[in-house]
Amino acid sequence: MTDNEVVIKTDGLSLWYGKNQALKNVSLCICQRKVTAIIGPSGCGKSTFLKVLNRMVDLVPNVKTNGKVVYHGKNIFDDDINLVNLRTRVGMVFQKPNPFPKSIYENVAFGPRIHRKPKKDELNEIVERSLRQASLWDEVKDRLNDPGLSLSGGQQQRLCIARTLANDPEVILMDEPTSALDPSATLRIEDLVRELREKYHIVIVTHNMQQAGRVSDDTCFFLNGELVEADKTKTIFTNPRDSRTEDYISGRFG
Amino acid sequence: MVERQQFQKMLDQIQQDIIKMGGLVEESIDNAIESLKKQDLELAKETIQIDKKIDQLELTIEDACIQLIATQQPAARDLRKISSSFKIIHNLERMGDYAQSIANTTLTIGNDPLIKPLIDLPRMTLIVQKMVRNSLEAFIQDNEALAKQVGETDDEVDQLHNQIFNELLLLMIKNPATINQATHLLFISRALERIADHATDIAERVIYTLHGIHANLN
Ligand SMILES: Nc1ncnc2c1ncn2[C@@H]1O[C@H](COP(=O)(O)OP(=O)(O)O)[C@@H](O)[C@H]1O
Ligand SMILES: [Mg+2]
Repeated sequence: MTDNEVVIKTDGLSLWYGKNQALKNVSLCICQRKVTAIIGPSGCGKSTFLKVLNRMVDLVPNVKTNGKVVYHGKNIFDDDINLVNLRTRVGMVFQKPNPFPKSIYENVAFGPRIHRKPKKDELNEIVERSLRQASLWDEVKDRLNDPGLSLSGGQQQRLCIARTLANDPEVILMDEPTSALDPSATLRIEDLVRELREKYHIVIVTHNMQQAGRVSDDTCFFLNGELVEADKTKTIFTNPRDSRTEDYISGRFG
Repeated sequence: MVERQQFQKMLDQIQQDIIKMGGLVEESIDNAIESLKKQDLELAKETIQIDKKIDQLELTIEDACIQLIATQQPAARDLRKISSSFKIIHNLERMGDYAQSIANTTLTIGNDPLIKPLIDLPRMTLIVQKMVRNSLEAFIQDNEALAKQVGETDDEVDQLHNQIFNELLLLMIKNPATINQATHLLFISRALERIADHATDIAERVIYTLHGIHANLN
């Protein structure tokens, strides 16, 4: 792995919620045009790790961090970092689809309207492109003014992905994006993730190991806030180095 | 730690069936050579019946492996164990076929007097049977040292095969009337040598199951 393939690098990253340490000295590279899966039992720090990467975790009171998260050569904990910029470039999709109580169109247009103030035509273009990229366009193009919440769960999640894409991110963080969806909606999101990988760097947290196997190129296994092992997904699933990883992916705990 | 009891039970069953299949293979090799030695044509026919059981067991185990993969999503060493089981039952099935063709050769030779007393072939048989047994034991017990030992024994078998080949060749040169039966015996030696190769394949799967690397043991 050469340095110019690395998009985000964490270096000795630790995090505490008050006295409770949720991340312990995590050093990890997120690579270009790859899907990186984060797996591990509940409470091992997956969501926390994801939320550090765009400093969403700042929204929680009493959080303390140590170590570095280097993005484009710059530590995101530096004082002069532009947080709004960081959070548009490193976008996030959550576990439960959470469209705004607005129209489908407005859900996607919301971000660009605030950040870039585009003209009407340009905004239409962004909305269409984002919905197409999220493979939702054909299903909603005739009813863009319907409420986002009128869509099915799987469609809502794709709408949230479109909303993230509209901000023109570079990295997309997904926290168990299919855990609230049925199997066929899940497979559609997984296909979408594989497509998005052509243009974006994706980090996906999943407690479904088979999903990690299906969608990711690299897999990182966390346990009790520690990064136990990070390797090619193929290696993690066929021949992991650490016996704790082996036990976890063999379903012997967790 | 929550053990996957259901999964483990199914995997254990597969391994027990592999042992059973190995037992049948050993028995059929034994019968085939005994029937040759004693020119016991009834025993030769029985050997051919055993092969049917071996083929049936291969299909049963294959189905069980497929079911395990489809329903339990095994990974890492569990997955390697199952993929090795797939290969191993094929090795065993091939061994069964060789034993069967030895028995067929016995029938072909029939009651013609043997051109020489059989000494090396039974010796070779004992070694080959032990290889089969040890390779399966190594697989079931994850015993790397035993697997490697099987690989080493394969050299002995190759040497014996060469020795038998030379001996029979001399016999044929001296007395062309022996050519017909000598060719049959040569074929039997070759079949035993191939069975040993399959046992060595099984031993290599042990290394693969343990470490995920494709080793070459002979
Ligand atoms: N907002 C929070 N405030 C306090 N503790 C938290 C908060 N979020 C998570 N934690 C704690 O941090 C640890 C890691 O949680 P989390 O990152 O959500 O794990 P995961 O996503 O792997 O289930 C847990 O012990 C959890 O209780
Ligand atoms: Mg979580």
